Amino acid sequence: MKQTKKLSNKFLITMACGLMSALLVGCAGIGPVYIPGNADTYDLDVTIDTRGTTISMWTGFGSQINTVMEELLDEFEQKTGIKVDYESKGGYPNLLKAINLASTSGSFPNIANGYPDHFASYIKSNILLRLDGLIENDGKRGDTEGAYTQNGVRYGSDGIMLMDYDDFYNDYTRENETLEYKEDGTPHILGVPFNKSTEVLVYNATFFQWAASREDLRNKIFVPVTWTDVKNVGVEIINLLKPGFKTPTADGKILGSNNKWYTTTAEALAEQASIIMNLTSVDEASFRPFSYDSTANMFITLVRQYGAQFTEIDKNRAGHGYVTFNDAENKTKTTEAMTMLKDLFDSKVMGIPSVWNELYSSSPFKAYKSVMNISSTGGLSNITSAAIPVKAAPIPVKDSNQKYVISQGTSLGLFNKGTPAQRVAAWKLMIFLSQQKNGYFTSQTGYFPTGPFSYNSEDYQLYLESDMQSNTEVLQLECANLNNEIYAGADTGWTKFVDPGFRGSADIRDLVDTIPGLLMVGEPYRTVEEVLNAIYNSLSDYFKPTK
Amino acid sequence: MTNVVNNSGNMNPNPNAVDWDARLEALGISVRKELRPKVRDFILPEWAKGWIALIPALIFLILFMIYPIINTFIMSFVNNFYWVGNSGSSFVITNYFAALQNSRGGVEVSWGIQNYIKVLADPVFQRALTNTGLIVIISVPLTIVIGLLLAVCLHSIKPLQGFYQTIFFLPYVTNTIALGMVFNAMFSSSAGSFINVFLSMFGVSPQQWLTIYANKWNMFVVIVIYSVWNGLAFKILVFMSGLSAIDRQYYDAARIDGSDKVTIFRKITVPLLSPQILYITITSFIGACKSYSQIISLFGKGAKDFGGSDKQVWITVVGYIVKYIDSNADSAAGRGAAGCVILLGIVLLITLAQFAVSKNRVYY
Amino acid sequence: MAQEAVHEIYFASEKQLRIYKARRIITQTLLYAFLTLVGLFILFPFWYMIITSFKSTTAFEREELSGKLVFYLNSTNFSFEQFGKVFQGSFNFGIFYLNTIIVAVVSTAFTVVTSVLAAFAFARVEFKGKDLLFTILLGTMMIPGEMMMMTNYQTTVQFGWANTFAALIFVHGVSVFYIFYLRQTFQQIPNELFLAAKVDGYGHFAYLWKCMIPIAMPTIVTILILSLMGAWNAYIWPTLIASGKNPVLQGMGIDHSMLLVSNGLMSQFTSEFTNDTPARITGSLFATVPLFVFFLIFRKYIMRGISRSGIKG
Repeated sequence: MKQTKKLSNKFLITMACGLMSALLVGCAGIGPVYIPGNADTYDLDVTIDTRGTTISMWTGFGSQINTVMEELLDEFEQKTGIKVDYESKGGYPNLLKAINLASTSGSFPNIANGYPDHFASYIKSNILLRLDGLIENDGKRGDTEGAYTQNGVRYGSDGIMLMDYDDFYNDYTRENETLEYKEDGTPHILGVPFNKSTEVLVYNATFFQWAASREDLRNKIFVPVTWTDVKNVGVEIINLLKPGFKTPTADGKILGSNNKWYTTTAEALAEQASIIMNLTSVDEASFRPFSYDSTANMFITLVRQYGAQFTEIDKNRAGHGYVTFNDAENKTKTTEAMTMLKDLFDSKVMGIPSVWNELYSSSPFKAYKSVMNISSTGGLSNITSAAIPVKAAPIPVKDSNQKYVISQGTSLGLFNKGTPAQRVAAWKLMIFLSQQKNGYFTSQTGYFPTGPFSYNSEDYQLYLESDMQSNTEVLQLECANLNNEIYAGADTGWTKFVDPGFRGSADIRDLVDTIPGLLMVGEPYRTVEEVLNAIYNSLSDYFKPTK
Repeated sequence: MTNVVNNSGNMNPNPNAVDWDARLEALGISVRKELRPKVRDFILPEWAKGWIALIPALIFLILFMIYPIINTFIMSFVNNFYWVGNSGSSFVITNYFAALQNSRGGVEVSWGIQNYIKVLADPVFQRALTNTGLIVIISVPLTIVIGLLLAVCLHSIKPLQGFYQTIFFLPYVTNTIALGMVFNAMFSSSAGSFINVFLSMFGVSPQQWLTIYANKWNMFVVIVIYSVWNGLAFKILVFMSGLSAIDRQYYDAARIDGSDKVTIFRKITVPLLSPQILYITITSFIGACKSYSQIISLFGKGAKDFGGSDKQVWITVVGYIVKYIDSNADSAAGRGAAGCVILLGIVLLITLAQFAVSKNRVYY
Repeated sequence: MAQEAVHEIYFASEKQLRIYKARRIITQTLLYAFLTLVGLFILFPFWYMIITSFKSTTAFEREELSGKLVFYLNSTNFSFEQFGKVFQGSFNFGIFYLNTIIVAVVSTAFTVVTSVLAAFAFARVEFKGKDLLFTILLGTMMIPGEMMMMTNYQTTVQFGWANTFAALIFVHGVSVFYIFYLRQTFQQIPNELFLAAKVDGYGHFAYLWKCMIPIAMPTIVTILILSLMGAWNAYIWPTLIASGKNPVLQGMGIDHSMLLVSNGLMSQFTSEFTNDTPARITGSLFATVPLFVFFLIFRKYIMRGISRSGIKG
C-alpha cells in the first residue's frame, strides 16, 4: 500500500511541476516592449502590393447587418485578394470595451467602426491612426501600372477607387475632425463616415390624411412643423378623441371616417365608414398624441434648436470636453426649451416610452396610443404594421431659423497594428466600405449615403427606384428621400448636427437622458430650474475651469 | 493491507516477482545497492501534500482571480488611469509608466487617494450603499429561512418528493435575463397584470410597481420577491444534500427519547446542518452584496436603468462600479476600482464577523 | 426519505393509534399544501413563458396594453410565429449547442477535480498558511466579476486564447464557491475515520480517493449539476472573448463560430427583436429547454446522488 501511496505522490509531484513549467513558459515573453508609437500615416507606401494579406475587422452590428457585411467582404476579397477576418462584438458598448482592453496587447483589429467618443479613447491609448497621410497620398495609386479610369472615377490596379475625401458630407466629417489638433490648430482626420442615420417624425397616415380631408379639421389637425404646432395640434387631437376613450365602466369606441363614434368595427363598416382610430383599449391616461423615442436626443436637439450649446470641446486638450448647457451663457435658452417641453408633458400632449413602461414608443403607436412618433431611421421596422400605414416628415423645429436635426451613426477608423501591407489593405477596405460600395451597403441596411458619390451610385439609384413590397422598406425609402431632399438638401435650411465626442461624452448623454423623465414625473424635482440644476451639478467633473 | 515491506531489498517472497537486481547485473549495469535511492524511504511531509493538492486550483486562481484583484487594488490608487496601447502588459504599474511616456494621452496619471475621496463623497455611491444594504438585510434571511423550511418539509415526505424537488429547482435552470422579462410583465402596472389582479382580491387598487411613476418601496417589494424566488433553488439543493447526510440514528434516538418535531428540528437537524447553513449564509450575503444583474433585468430597460425617473433609484454598489467600468471618462477606471476595494472591505468585514459568530455554533 | 417508515411504534391503546394517525394525516396534508403553494409560486413564471411563446406578437401586445393578460391559449392569440423567428436566417443552433456542451462538460470536469483536491487540502491537511490562504480565497468571492474581467480579458488575449475553448473553460474553471462548499462537507467527516485509515496504511490521497469522495458524493453531484448549469447560462464573458471564429480550427480550414447558446441567441435577438417581447421570451425558452430536458432525463440519478444517505461503514 505504501508503494502506491508513494507512487501516487510522485505522480502528483510530477504533474504539478509540469503544470508550473508550462505556465512559466506561457507567461514568459508577454508582449512587446512599450513603443510610444507614431500614429501618423505619411510614410505608408500606398502602392505596396496587398494581395494575399489578411486583416481583421470588428464591429458591433447585429445579425441582419452582419449578413450584408459578409457579402461585401466576400466581394472585396474577390477583387483585391485581401482576406478579412470579421467579428461582431454584439453592440457598441462591447466593442468599445473589447478594443480598449485589447489595446495593451496589440490584439485590436486593423479596422473597426465606432462613435466619436470611442475614437477619443482610442486616441488616448495611442492606437488610432491619423488618416491625413493616407488621404493625401492616395493619389499615388492612380500612377501605378494597371490603374484605370471608369465613368470619371480613378481606380487603382486592384479595382479600389482613389478616395475622394471632399465628397463626404461636411455634416458627417466634422465629427472626426474635432478629436485631435495639430500644433497650428488645424485638425487631424481620424475617421471616415460609415453608417449614418437620423431622426424623422413618423405619423399615422390614416389619421392625418383623414383630418386633412375634412373641412372642419384641416386647420386644427395637421402634421406639425414647429413645437407650437405640436402643442396646438396635440390639444386638438385630444379634444377630438375625448368622447371615444375607454372609461372604467365602458370600453373605448371606434372613430369612423364620418366623424362618428361606433362601438364595434362591424357597425362602422355597416355605415360605410372606414376606421380611423380604434380606441377600444385606450384610456385617456395612456394616450399621448406625440411621442419621442430617445429622451437624450430630445434634450440635445431641443437645446440646439433653442440656440444654446450643449457641450464644448477643449481645443488645447485632445479628447477633453466640457458641459455648458446650464452655464451663465446658455442657462436662459436651455430653461426656455425645457419649459416648453414641460408644458407639453403637463398638457398630456407629449409622451416618452416610460409612460407606457416601454423602451420604444412603437408598440403604443401600433396600439393607437399615440399618432406621432419621432424615431431613428435605423429602427423603422418596429413601427410599421399591417393595420396602420405610416408616413415620415421632418421633425418639428422651434422656428425656421433653427432647423437642426441630430445625426447619428458611426465612422470607420484604422488602427496602429500590423505590417505596412496590412495597414494599406485596411485603408483599401475603408475606401471600399465608406465610399465605393457605400451605395450598396446603405441600400440594403436603411442607413444614409455618406456623400453624393454614394448617393449617385448605381446600387443606390436602383434602390430609390425600386418597387418596395413591405411596409418597412417603403418607409425606409421614404426616409431616404426625405433625408436627401430635405435634411441634406442645398437650400432647405436644415443642418444635421453632431455634438463633438470626447472622453466621457457618453456619460453626459446618459445623464441628460433622464431630464425629460424627471420633468414629466415632477419628482423629486418640481420645477424646470431644479431639474436642470440638479443634473448639471452632478456633472461637475465636466465644468469649464474658471479662471 | 498488511504487507510489510522489508528492507532487505527483496520486496516480496512472491516467486513470480521479477528480480530486477539480477537482471540489471546480467546486463552489465551495476549500481551499488546501498547507494541506490530507495523510493519507499521517501516520505512526503504533510504540508507538502497539502500544497500539492492545492496547486491545480491555485495556479488558475492566482492567474485569473488573485492577479486581477491585485491589479484592481493598485488601479484604485492611480488617478486618470487608462490602458496604454501596445504597453505589452495588463499590469497597472507597467501601464502607469507607459502612460507617463505617452504624449498622445492628453491626461496626467498620478498617484493618490483621489479616487476614494470622489467615490465616498458621491451621493450616488452613498445611495448605492444604502440600497445594497437594504437588499441584503431583508432578502437574505428571508430566503434562507424559507429555503430551510422547504428543504425540511421536502425531506419529510416520501411520495412525490422528486417531483417537488424538480419544481423547486427550476428557477436555477433559466437565466436571469429571461426571468426578469417575465417578472417585469407579471408586475406591470396595468389593471390586468398578475399582481394587481391578485391584490384586487384584497381590495387594493392597482399599483405602479416598476414604472417611472412607481414609488421606491413598491419597487423594493418586487425586488425582494424576485430575489427570494431566484435564490430558493440553490439553497434548497444544498440543504437537501446536507439533510440526506444526517444519519438516521440521530432521529431514531431522539424519537425513542420522545422528542417532538420542533425540538428535533432545533436540537438535531439545525446543528447537524450547521456547516451547510454557515456556507449558505456566508455565500448568500456575499452574493446579495453583489446584486446587480437581477435588478437590471427586472426593470428591463437596459444595463443602466435602475428604476425611477432618474434611473438610479435602486442603484447598487456593483451597478455603480459597472457604470464606471463601462465609461471612458478620464477618471472612470480608478473610480470603479476604488468602489471595488471599498466593497471588498465591507464584505470582508461582514464575513469575518459571521465566521467569528459561528465559531461556537457550527458543529462538524 | 420518510422517517416514520418501518418503525414499530407501540401504542397504549387503540385511541392513541387513531390520534397518531390523525395527527400524521394533518401534518402531511399541511406539508403538501405548503409545498404545493410554494410550487405554484415557483411555477407561475414558467407557465407564463410557455404561454407567451405560443402567442402571436400582436395578440400579446394587445393583451398587455389592454390590461387583460390572458393566461391560457385560445383561438385569437395562438400562433407559431415565434418559433419561426427563432429558426430563421443563418441561425446555427447546432453549433451553439455543440460549443456549449463541450465547454460545459470539460469545464465541469475541470472544476470538480480542482475543487475536490483543494477542498481536501483545506479540510484535511495541516499546512502552514492554510487559514490565511483560505481567507484570501474567500476574499476573491467578494469582488464582482465585472472588475476582474478587465484584467482577465487581457491575460487571456496575451495567452493567445481569444476565441478558443481554453478561454471559456479555464478562466472561470476554478470556483472558490465550490471549494468552500466541499470543504464544509469534508470537515463533517469524522476524524476517527481518517485515523482508522491511517492505521490501515492509507496515505492522504488514497484516503481521499477511497473514503472521502464516496462519502461526499451528494455534494460532488450537486457541484456537478450547478457547474453544468452555470456553464450553460454563461453570457457576459463568452460575448466578450468568444464572439468570432476559432483560430486553431481556422488554421485547419474550418470556420467554426465560437458562440454559445446564450450569446448566440442574444446576438440574434438584440437587433431585430428588441421590441418584440414574446420573441425574446421564446428565444430564452429555447436556451433553457435543453438544460431542462437534460435535467429531467438524469433526474433520477441526480436526485439519487443527492439523497444518498449515511456514512458508509
